[in-house]
Amino acid sequence: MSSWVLNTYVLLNAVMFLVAFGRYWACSRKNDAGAVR
Amino acid sequence: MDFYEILNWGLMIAAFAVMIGIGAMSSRRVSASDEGGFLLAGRTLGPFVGASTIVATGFSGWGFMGSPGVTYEYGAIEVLGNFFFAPAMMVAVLFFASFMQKRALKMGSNTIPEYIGQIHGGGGGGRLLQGVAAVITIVLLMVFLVSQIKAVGLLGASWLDIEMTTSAWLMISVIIIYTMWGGLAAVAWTDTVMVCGMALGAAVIMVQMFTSVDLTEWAARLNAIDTNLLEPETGAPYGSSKSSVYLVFPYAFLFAAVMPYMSVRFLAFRPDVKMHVVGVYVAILGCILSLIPIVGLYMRAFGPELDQADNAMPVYLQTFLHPALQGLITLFILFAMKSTANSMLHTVASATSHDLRLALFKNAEHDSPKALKINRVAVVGLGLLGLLMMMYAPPFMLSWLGILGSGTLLAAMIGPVFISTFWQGTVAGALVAMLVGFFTSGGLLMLTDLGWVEGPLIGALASSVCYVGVSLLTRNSEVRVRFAN
Repeated sequence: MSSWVLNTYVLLNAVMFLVAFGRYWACSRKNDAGAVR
Repeated sequence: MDFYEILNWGLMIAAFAVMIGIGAMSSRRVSASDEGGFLLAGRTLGPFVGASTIVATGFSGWGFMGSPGVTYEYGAIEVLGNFFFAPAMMVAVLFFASFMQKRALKMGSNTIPEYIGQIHGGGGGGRLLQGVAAVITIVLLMVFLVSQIKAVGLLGASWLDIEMTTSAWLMISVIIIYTMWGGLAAVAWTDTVMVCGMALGAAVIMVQMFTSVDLTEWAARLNAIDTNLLEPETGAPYGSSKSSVYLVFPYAFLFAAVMPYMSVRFLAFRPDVKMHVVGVYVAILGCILSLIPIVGLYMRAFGPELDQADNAMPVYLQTFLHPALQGLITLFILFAMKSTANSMLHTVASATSHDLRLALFKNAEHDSPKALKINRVAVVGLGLLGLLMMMYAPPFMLSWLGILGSGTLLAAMIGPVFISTFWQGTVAGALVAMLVGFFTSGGLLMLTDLGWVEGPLIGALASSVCYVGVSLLTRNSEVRVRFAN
């Protein structure tokens, strides 16, 4: 099923999860580093 | 009464028992010596409950009933438009919520109008802002609440085969009982149960659709009807240009960050909750719920022809699902509507009982048994008022004012709630911004042909410019007045 709207929908879903998990990973690393110090 | 009607009544009674039980359990968070217990769930929301209540409130019954109808009529563009609410809520949680939460905690704000008053210095000017923000919130959200009550009443009536007014009374009475009992904690916990039901409903629908057809055939059927359904050449219904659909993202972001019944949840998080954890939950739940409008594409390709596009979801349930599943998913759709209605009722009630009271009476009691009683009476009184308004207000007026109310509230609140969190303006700036946002968005929606996204965004821009401009112009004079006092 090819469609610019559905392709954009899938792409933006991927971006949303990238931002969510990227932020989760970055903040968890920062917190862990803080805990070690 | 046939077997499935008895099953629907059984489902409803079980769901109501769970909600009232949650209300009773959450009443432990309510303390007579701290209004924050009732108004902010004692600032105890954890990451999953917080994320659930944000998503449940943000995705109202529109996502299940209205949006599939728009997709049926205009095609896949609505799937994208409706989806923007998910990343917008996530961005608001990740990049705004913690700033607001920290400032509110420091100042002791229990509501959004109180936050507006305190962040602009408190005192007489702060009380004036709190009062104006409360009045705007009550007027615009009350209309919203009435339209939600009507939607719940209509769906409940067809589900249980009873009169619409009886259904509305039944559905709203339960919301009134648990909200009055447990305040925001009851609203947030019931929202959590309801959002799990909504996500389960979405999953069942997706499994039915994607396992029953071949994707190539689905696309071929849609293209045979109208190629614009999958490859739209305009942005309709969002605007004439294709890019109009992207305007839903800033609109939805401001909706999540600024609307009093959404942003008050940021204040209710436990102070040690990590917003990056909340963001992940919001993304997952938002992604699942944003799939629902695809039902419109399925109905257009494989369902019977509809006279009214708005019937896409009800006819889909009747045509493609087993009657038992149909009843269960209707309950989940009612959940979607109720999770928005309970949040509005709580916000309107707290604006009346807490904000207006503190704005009008300088020495009004707070954090006392009397204040808690007033908050509870306001929930009952405004819930009943909403029911009476639904019964006697002309129907056309409700839908028209509903559309007007959401965008206008957003435009009025952007300066005093959003900009003030990062850059503090003056009382005059906040007052002018609220009035300019209110009249610009309201005027554009009433007097021009601009869409429901464009009017409020222009209103929000005008309001923001006024907030900064008037604050810069009046900054020195307000400082002089404070020193003189």
